Amino acid sequence: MFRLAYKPVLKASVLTAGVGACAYLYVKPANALTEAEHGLHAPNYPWTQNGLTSTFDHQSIRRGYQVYREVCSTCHSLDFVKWLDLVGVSHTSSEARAMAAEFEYDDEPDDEGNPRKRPGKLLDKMPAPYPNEQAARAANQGALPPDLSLMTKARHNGVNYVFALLTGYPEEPPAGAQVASGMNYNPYFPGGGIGMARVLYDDLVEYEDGTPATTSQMAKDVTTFLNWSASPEQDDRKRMGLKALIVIATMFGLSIAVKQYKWANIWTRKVVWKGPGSPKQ
Amino acid sequence: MSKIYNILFRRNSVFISAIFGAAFFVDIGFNSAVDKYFDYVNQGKQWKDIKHNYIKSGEDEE
Repeated sequence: MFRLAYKPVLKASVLTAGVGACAYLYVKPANALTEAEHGLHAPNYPWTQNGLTSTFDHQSIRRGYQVYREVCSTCHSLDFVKWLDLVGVSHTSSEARAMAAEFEYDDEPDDEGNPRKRPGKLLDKMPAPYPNEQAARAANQGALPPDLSLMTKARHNGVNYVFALLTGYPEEPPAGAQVASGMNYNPYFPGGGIGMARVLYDDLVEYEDGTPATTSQMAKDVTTFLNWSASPEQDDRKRMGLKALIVIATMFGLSIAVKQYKWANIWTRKVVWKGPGSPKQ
Repeated sequence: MSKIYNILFRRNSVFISAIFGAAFFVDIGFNSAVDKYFDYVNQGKQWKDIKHNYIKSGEDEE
């Protein structure tokens, strides 16, 4: 009797232990770090690009580019974006050409081998603020401003984190917070001490479309711009995805119907054996 | 039913051409219908909705 009951009891106890452990860890997570060391969790903001069929707000991308150009680009590079990428997304081709031409790029050397410069073209990448990492660190008290091209993909909770970080600088660090000299306090940054100071203040930039440039508006626009730079394919992906889902769902329904139809005979048939071994009539 | 059979299915050449022709036109119709819906859902957000603000008249631009 014991041997028979052994297996189900074992199974049930393992299952109970597993479920219990999961429940315990769900209620009381085993964090290796505290919330302050992790950085606060950013709230979920209602982005216009949230949702299966929602595209970016391209007016916001355009404003966000302006914020990047006038504010962020003094320290942060945007290495993976070309001027051409802006065309048809936030700027016309002649606007992008004019913006590119404002920057100087290395040209081929002249006949005597002297380096030359030329104005930027559409196929050039966004110019970086510093020539290399050492120069960037030297100009920022040892802190390296990261490249922003893929920032919303590179951080947990991407866009929400970037927005929360940009708008999350308190007036004063809370009592008890340890901030090293030259660092700034931001609860959303892991550890709380961040090299970047608060940069977005109301009316820092002047939008050409007349949108009031509040801190949160600028943070929202630049975050949308960075989200676009990290996933420029998003609008097309959603459009194609919608079509693919409709087609695949239709095909799936059809395949079920055809299968039912083909199997109807087999399901409804009755097999009768008459011969040796069959029950007596 | 026999009418459909006689017109479409009887000759394989007609059947195959009907499939290819239908695929061509249904694809166009389906794409334009979904695009229309997608653009309706995202009214005013895409570049094509705002580019008229930035393109000076007479220019041929993206």
